[in-house]
Amino acid sequence: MALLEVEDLRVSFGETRAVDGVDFQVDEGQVVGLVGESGCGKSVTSLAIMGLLPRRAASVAGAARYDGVDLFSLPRGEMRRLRGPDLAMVFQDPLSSLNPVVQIGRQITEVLERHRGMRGEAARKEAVHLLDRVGIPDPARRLGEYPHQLSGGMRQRVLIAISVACAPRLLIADEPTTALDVTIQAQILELLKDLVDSEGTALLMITHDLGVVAGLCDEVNVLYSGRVVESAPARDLFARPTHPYTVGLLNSIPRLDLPIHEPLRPIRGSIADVIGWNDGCAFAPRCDRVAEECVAGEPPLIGAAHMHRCVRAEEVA
Amino acid sequence: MLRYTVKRLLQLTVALLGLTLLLFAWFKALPGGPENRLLPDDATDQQREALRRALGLDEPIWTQYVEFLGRIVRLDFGSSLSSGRPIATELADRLPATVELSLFAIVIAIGVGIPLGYLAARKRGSWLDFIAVSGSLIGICTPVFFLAAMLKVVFSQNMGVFPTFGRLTPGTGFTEVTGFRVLDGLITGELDVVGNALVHLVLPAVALASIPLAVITRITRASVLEVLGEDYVRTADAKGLKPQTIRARHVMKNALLPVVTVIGLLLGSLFAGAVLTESVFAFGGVGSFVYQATTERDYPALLGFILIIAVSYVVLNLLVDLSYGFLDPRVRVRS
Amino acid sequence: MTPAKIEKLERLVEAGAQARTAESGSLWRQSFRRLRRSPMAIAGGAIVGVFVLVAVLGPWIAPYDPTAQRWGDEVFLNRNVFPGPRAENWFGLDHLGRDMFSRMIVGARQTLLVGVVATLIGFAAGAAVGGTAAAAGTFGGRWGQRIEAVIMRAVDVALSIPMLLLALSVAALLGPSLTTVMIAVGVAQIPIFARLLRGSMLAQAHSDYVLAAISLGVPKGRIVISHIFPNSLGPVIVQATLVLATAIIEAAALSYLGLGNPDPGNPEWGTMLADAQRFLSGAPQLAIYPAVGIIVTALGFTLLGEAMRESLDPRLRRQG
Repeated sequence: MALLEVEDLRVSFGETRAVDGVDFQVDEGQVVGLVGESGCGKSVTSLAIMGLLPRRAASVAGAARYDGVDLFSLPRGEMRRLRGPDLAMVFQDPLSSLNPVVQIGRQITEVLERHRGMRGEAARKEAVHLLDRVGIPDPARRLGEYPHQLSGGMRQRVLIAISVACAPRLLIADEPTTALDVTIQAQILELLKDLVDSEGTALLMITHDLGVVAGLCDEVNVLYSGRVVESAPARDLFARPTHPYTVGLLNSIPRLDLPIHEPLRPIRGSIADVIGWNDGCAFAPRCDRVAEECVAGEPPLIGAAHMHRCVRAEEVA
Repeated sequence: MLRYTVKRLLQLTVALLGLTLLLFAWFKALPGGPENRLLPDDATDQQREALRRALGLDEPIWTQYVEFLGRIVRLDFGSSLSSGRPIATELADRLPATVELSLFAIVIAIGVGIPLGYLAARKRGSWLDFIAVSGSLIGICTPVFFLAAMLKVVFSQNMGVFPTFGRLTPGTGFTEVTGFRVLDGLITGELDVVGNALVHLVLPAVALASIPLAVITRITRASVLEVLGEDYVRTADAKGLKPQTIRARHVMKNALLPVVTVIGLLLGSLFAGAVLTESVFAFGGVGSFVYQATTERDYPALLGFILIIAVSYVVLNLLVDLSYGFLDPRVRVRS
Repeated sequence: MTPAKIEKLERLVEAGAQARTAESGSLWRQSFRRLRRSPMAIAGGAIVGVFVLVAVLGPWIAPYDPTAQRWGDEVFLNRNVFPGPRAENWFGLDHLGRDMFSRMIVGARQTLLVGVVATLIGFAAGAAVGGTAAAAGTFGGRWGQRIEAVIMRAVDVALSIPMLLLALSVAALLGPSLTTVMIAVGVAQIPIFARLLRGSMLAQAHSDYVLAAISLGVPKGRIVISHIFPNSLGPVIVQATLVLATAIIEAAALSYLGLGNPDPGNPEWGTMLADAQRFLSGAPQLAIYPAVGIIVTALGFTLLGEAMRESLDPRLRRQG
C-alpha cells in the first residue's frame, strides 16, 4: 500500500477550479516530484493534503489516503495530531513563514512540546541538536534570536528543522528554494536529500524547476491547468518526455551541451491561455502540434508505468 | 534599547519645549491680554502702562517667554478665577478622580474591545461580526456628552439603577489616602466605600469608554484579519499546534502590536472625553473644572490643564512606544 | 487542422479570457466598480445624498419658519410641557415653541457647512504643510531634509494635543461663534492631513516612475506638482470623508461647551443638541432629534469613507 494516495482531487475557489482531478501516489521513503508552472495547482494540491486551505473559501473533493485513512474525512483534532509527527511541510518563503515576534528556539520547541512531550531543558537540547542537524552554526546562540536576524538560507534551514523535528513519515516541500539565492538553493536541496535519505522519510517535492526534480526525485508528476498531464519515473521522463507540455518545459531550460547559437524554445503564450478540460486538452491553445482530435473532448490518461494525457502521443514521439 | 530610550526622551523634551512655545504664543494672543482683566474698565492709559511694567509685559518677548517657562516649571499657573485657589492645587486635587475614571474607561474598552474584535475577525461575516462592526461605527459617531446624558436619563433618573452624580453618595464617610476612592477603600478596608465608588463609576466610565471601545474593536478586528492571512499562522497550523497555542502565540502576539499603538493615541481623546463626561455627571474631576474654566473663559486654568494633559499624553505615549519596542523585536534591533 | 477547428479553439480561449478581464481596468475604474457593489458605500452614499439634498433645499421644503415662536404659548418650561409630535408639527415643538421639524431641516445646512468648511481648512492647511515637508525632504537636499524634520516635529507636537483642547484654544482666541467652531475643528485636523499627505507623497517619491522621470531630466518642481502630488491624493480624500464625520461630532461637542453659535436665528444641529441638554429629563426628544441627525450623518460619511478606503487599498483587495 502506498503511503499517500491522492485520488481525483478537486479544489475550487468559487467558480475557479484550481485543481481539477489529480491522481498520484507516494510510497514509503520515496521522493516524488510535482512539477508545473505557477498557477497549475501544485501548491493548492499540497495545502489540500495538509488540510491547510481556508475552509471558508475552498471546496475540496476527492480523496487523499494516508496509510489507508482518508485525510479529508478525519476530524480536525485528529488531523492536527497527524500534522508534525506524520505529515510535515516546508514552505516557499522562509521569512514570512516564521513568526517575526517569537524566538527561533520557541518556534522549534513548541513542536517538540506538542508532539513529543518534551519540556524545558530536554526540549532546548533537542532544538539545539535539530539546528545543528540542518547545518546552522552556533545553534545554541541562535535559539534566542528572531527570524529577521537570520539570512534567507538560515531561515529556510530553521523551517526545515521545524518540519523534521518529529521525524515525519511524509515531508511536503513547496518550492523550498524559490525564494533563495542560487548558491543557497543547492545547499538546501542537498540538506533535504540528506535528511530524507537518512531517516527514510518520503518527500513530496513541489517545484516549477525540472532541474530540481532531476537531481532528487524517483517519480515525477507534471501538472498542467489542475491535472496531471504526464507521470513517470524520473529517468524515464527525462529520456522520453511524451506530453508536448513536458517537452516544452525541457526545451525551455538553458543547456550547456547544446550548440552555442541554438536558440531556446520557450512555450508560447501563457498559462492564462487555456480551455476547459471537458472541451479538450487544456494545453491545446499553446501546443505546436495541436490537431483536431485535441479539442474533440476530454483526453484520457494513458499508459501504465509511464502515463500521459496526450491523444497524439504516437505522432509526437 | 538604551539608545532608543534616550533618543525618544530627547525627542520628547524638544516636543514639550515646542509645545510651551505654542502655548506662550497662544497666551499672548488671547483677547484683552492679562492686564485688562486686572483693571477696571475705565482705567487710564497711564494706569495700564504702569501695570504692564509691573507685570513685566514691557520687557523683550524672549524674557517674557523665559519667565513663562519658569512659572510652568514651578507649576505656578496663577489663581483660578472661579475659586480663587491656585490652579495647580485645584488640578492636583481633582486629578485622581479623572485618572480613576479614565482608567476604568480604558479597562472597559480594552477588556471588551480586544476579545470582541478577535471574535468578530474569527467569525467574519457572522451576526456577531455584523453587530461588532456596526456597533463600533455607531459608537464612533455618537457625541460623548449625548451618550452620557442619555445613560443618565435612562439608568439614573428613570430606572434609578445608578446614582446621577458625584463620586460617592453625599455624606458617605471615607478616609482619603491617595484620592482614588476605590483604591482608598481597599487600603483602609472600607468596603462600602469601594462599592459606593464603583457604582458611581459605572455610567461615566461606560460613556467615556464608548469611543475607545469602538476604535479598539475595529483595529483588533482588522489586525486579526490581516494576521490570520499571514504565512506564519499557516506554518503554525502545519505544525499541528493546539488552537489555543496558535491563537495566543502566533495570532494575538502579532495582532496586538497595532492595537497597542492605537491605545496610546486614544489617550488624548480619552482626556478630552473626560471633560464632557464629568460635566454631565458632576464627577468633580479635572474635567468638571475645565468645563467651568471654558464657560467662564478662565484662560490660566485652561493653560494649566492643557499642559498637564500634553505632558501626560506625551509621557504615556513614550511608555507605549517603549513597550512596543519590548513587544516587537524588529523595532528593538533597528534602533 | 481545419479553419473551423482553429476557430473553435480561439472561441474557447476567448470565453475564458473574457471571464477574467471583467475584473481588470484602470485602478480608479476598478475601485469605483467595487465601490458601487459595496453595500457599505451604497448605504453611506444614500445617507450623504439625502443629507446634502436637505441641506441645499432646506429653507424651501421646511413647512414653517424655523425661528418663529408660533406656538410659544403652548410650551411651559417650569411644568415640563413640550407638545410632542402631532399633525401640524411632525417632530413637536422646542422650548421656545418653534417647529422642531422645520428646525431640523433648515439646520442641516449649517451642520453641513460646519463640517465642510472645517474639513477644507484642515485639508488645505494640512496639505500645504505636509506637501512642503515631503517636497523639501525629497528634493531639497540636506537643508530640505532639515526643514522636513522641523516641520514634522512641529506636527508631532500638534498631534500630541488632544483635538478638543486644540479646538478649545482656538475658540478661546476667537470668541464663541459658528466661525470659531469651523476654524477650531479645522485647525485641529491640520496635523492629521499633514502627516497623511507626507506619508503618501514619500511613498510616491520612492516609486519607479518618479525615478524614471528624474533620470529623464524632468524638472523636480514639475515632478512634484504634476505627478507626486496628484497621485498621493487618494488616501487624503478618503481621510477627508472620514474627517467630515468627526468635524460634525466635534462641532457638537464645542457647542455643548458653549463655544458654538449663540445666534438662535440660524438653527444648527450641534447647537440644538447642546441647548436641549437643559430639558433632557423632561423632554429628551428635543435632544434625540438632532442627536440622531448627527449620528446618522456622521455614520453616512464614515461608511462612505471606509468603503472608499477599502476599495482603494490593494492589500484588502486580494482578500476581497
